[in-house]
Amino acid sequence: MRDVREVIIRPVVTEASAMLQEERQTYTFIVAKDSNKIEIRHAVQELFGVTVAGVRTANYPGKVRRVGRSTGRKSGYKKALVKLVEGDSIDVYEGV
Amino acid sequence: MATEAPELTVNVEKPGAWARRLTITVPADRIAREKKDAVQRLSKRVKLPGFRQGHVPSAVMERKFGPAIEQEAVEKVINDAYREALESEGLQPISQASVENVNYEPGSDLKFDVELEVRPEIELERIGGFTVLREQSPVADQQVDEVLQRLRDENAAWRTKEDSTPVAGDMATVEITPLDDATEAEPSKPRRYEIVIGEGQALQAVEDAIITLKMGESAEFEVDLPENPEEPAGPTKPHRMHINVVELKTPEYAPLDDEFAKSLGDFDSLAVLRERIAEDLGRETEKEAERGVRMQIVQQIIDANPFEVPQSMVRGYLDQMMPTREGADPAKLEELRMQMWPMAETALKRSMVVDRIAEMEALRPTAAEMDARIDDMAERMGRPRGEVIAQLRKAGRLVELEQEITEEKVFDYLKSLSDIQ
Repeated sequence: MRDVREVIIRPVVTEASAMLQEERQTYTFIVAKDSNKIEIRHAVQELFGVTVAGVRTANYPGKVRRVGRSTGRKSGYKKALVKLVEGDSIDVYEGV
Repeated sequence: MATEAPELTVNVEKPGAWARRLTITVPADRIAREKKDAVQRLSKRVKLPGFRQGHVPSAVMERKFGPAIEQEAVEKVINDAYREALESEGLQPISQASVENVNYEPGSDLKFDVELEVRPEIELERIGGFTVLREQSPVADQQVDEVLQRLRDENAAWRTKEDSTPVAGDMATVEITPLDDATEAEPSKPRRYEIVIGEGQALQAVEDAIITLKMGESAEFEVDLPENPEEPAGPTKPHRMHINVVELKTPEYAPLDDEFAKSLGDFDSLAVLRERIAEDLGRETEKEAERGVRMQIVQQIIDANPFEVPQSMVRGYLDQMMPTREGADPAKLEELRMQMWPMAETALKRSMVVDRIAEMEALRPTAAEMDARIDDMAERMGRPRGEVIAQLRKAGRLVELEQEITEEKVFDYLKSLSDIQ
């Protein structure tokens, strides 16, 4: 199994993620594109010492960008919404 | 907000006569609230990627700006607490306070010391029963004569004097050309001066040369001039110069008669002019005498109730009197300050005595008294009252006027308590 730091790339710190944290105990991360929910669950549990109740993921393909005649594509990313069990929490702002 | 704030604990020590050391303790919850306020204030301004402006959660703010917020909150609490402590203890600081030993751990009470000097409370036990000499001499005829002579001097007609050399009192228009550095190719330019002989307007050596020439005459001289112009009595050095007397005039005084009096203005005769001069001189000596009486009274009060003035107060007074100019020599400035120190101390003592008596006897001017004085001024100046008030306010002179009336009332009161001879 690969290193947990390769699975979890960074937390997402935005207004929406802050609201999810507060209201649903759900933390948002950008994760490796080829990771799966099981890997993400283990990685979060190992990295932050918490118990994960559920993982949902979403793939965001990169957007097409044009520069003059040539077209290109921004790199996409995979986002994971990780719900923790009642009472657990993560300090995602560390190092923000 | 200050009213709902939890009580401060203030402990006052007196290490010196005017020095105060305040130990202030601020409860932790007040700092917490201040911190919350600071977060809210800051979050309205701050822009963070991922958040709309003004919508950054406080947890994020604290994470990102924690130390700065805490410092801002603590500084504000210290300032507010210091002001509240001064108010609750009724202290009037006269110097910049210094905050020391700030002791704060997040979540615990904030404790700090403030050192300051306060305006001394002076106790005046005896302010009357003194004997004061009013020194007012009547106006002597000789003083009137002196003023008349000055008026004649000022109104003298100047007559051209062609046939003789100048004497003291004559006015010579001269052109002086320095010859020391002049060459044939580049002659020095002459400079023109108007000199009244015998009044010290020119260096003595130059004047000695001028009085050997008649109008229209010129000559070359070797004149000993001081090497340093600021030290006329110092070592001298010979200089060559060409002096040309362009014009020579002698004063012609009008005869001291009724005509002369009429020419000066609204005076029918010389006798009327003399009378008016005597009146003016009389008013001046009266003012002088009043100043003397006031000074004696204050001095006697200070002698009867000795008190000290804090050094910082004198220093502050001197700072106000002589603001530091850029480029001034600090050593010289300090020397000058030392020379002025006793004068500043006396002036401060005087104003403290006047203030204290005004306070003790409730002698500050009432609104009606201020109004009456302003009406007076408006009438004298022939201008509407509103305009006069606006002008006074603009020039910041209303406070001065108040002080003036207070002094008058205080001294009237003090004079009634003492024996003025």
